[in-house]
Amino acid sequence: MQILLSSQNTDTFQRAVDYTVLFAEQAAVTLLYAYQNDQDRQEALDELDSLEEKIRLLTNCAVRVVVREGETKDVILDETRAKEYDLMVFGSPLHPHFKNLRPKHDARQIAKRISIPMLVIFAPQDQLSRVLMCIGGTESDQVVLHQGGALTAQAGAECSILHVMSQIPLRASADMEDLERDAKSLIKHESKEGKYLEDALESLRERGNLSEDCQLIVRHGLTVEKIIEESERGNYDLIVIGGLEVAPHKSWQELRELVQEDIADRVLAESAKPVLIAREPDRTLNWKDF
Amino acid sequence: MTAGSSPLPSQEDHPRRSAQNLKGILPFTYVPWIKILLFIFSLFLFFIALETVKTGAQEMTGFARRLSGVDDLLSGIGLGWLTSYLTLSGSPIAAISLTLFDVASINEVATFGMIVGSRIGGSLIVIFIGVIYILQGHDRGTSLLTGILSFMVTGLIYIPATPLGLFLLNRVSIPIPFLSSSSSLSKSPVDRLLGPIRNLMVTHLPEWVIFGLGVVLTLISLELIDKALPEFELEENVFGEVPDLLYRPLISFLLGFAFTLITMSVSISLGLLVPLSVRGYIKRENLLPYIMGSNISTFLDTVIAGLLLRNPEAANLVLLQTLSVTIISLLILFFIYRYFQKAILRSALWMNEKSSRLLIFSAVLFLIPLVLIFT
Repeated sequence: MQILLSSQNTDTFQRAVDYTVLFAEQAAVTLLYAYQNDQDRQEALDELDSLEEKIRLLTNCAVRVVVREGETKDVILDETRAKEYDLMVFGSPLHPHFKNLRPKHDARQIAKRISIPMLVIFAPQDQLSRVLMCIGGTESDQVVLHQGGALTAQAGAECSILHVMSQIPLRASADMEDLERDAKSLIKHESKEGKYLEDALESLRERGNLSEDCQLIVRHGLTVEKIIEESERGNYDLIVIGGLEVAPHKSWQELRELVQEDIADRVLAESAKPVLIAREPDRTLNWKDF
Repeated sequence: MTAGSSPLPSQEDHPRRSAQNLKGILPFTYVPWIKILLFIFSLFLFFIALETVKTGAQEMTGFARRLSGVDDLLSGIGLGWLTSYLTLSGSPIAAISLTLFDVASINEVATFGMIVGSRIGGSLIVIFIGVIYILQGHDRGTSLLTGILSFMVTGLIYIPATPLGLFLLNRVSIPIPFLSSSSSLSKSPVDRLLGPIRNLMVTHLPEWVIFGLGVVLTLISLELIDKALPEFELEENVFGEVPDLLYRPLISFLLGFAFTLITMSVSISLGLLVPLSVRGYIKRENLLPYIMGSNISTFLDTVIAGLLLRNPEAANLVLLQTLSVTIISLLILFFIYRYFQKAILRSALWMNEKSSRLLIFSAVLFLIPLVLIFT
């Protein structure tokens, strides 16, 4: 299990390390820092040494420190292209008042372009006991369940699977009841969503040996709003959501960003909770790898 | 779309795309001559209808006086709003109000107000039909929510767009090259065709009958135009495989604009969305910007009416109204869309929750235009 851990400054680096030790027991961890000048480099090296020591103390992980000159996001993307990693953990600053402003910009930019799963930590978080996995009936759901399940199992956390139904009826013949039912009722009435949620739960159990009390939750409303709302209400320590595949060409990527809504990006922009953007990497993240 | 709202996939929902699935999105594989001829005939009938309304209004000496009470923005809005209930559509009223402006029965500001009112009233028809459905003992009409949303979006955009439009009206004149004040109908070949018919009507029919006939012809011609337009019966899986294309607000906005431009009807354009989901659902994220786009291109038939009347002022008025609605819509879309979306959806869902709220809401919406006319 190869984990790349990075951030823009030492405070946020610290947060990323604190969170990573909650689930990484035997991984190989690379601490990557992008420096702007020599003074910055020297200060960072001192701090990284103490972080390296901390990881070694709390886990059985092998740790190495890499410092490179350049912009953080470019250095990270170059590193993930040059070497195979299973997970990228990024400590992102959080604007104290305006969540959407510049400090989160880098995390979002990296998340859009990185082709491996990315875990973004915003605020200090000292526990990982509740995980919220968001599925929407898309291909990325299996990756969400796989990678989210892996992390949940490794951390010994509880998990919930959330599906937001944002549909509203457009024609008179539409089944209004399905649009108002909760998870239990959807399963009882054997609706499409109900069956899908049951399958998702079964799939999670098979992969992650999760406890029996994993919850299925269905909310009705705007997708991003309900995800954020549920994550706050349920006091979750991690949101897992599927990321869009990274397009092979920059122009395609830009075109898709223009046309297609990116729910994971909006959750990153609007939530202060840790977010794992699940993606199918070349080498699939597996809970057994931990 | 990575989480949340897309319909859950299944094998039966997503069969392989076949040539048959493309039926309807390749409209040029054959030439629908009947539809083309019907469209030309409908436009001609629309032209005759407007001329008939105009003739009737010109001949009715008391008519101008009767409408003299409608001389400001609010009374114009009230009249347009209320009369669109009678015609079950905003387009005929918008066209007729332009015709009345052409014969100076109502002034520019009142005309502006009538068109605004006709659009608001037009968007309320769905709600009234839904309320009748509820009163007949059915569950809350599922299409009611779409109607409420459509009304709220229309109202909230038209309210700020109206002062902007009036501001522009006093300062901007959009040049329309083939329309000039001198291009009188009396010199046109069409007039040579219509002249005898008009004289015949004026000689043998009372003026109010001519006016009524014109209104009926306007309704029929607009209905025929709807029927003459191409039918888009998209198979659900054609779009079902790319539902995210409708997801960005700007893209949904542009699609709403484009589809309504082609179909010339918001309701038909909204109907095109039905195949996006087998179960008749639409993602709420997509619906609002779609309606916003539709609300702009729905002005097309009124623009056509302005051009057919050959009145540069009338055409200018509609174009400026379209422009002001476009400006407000784009400002909302680019700057406050997320807040706008949340507020409208919450209000619409709250309203749709209880039948009693809907009934009160409908009653208030009937009273507002009356109050606007009579105060």
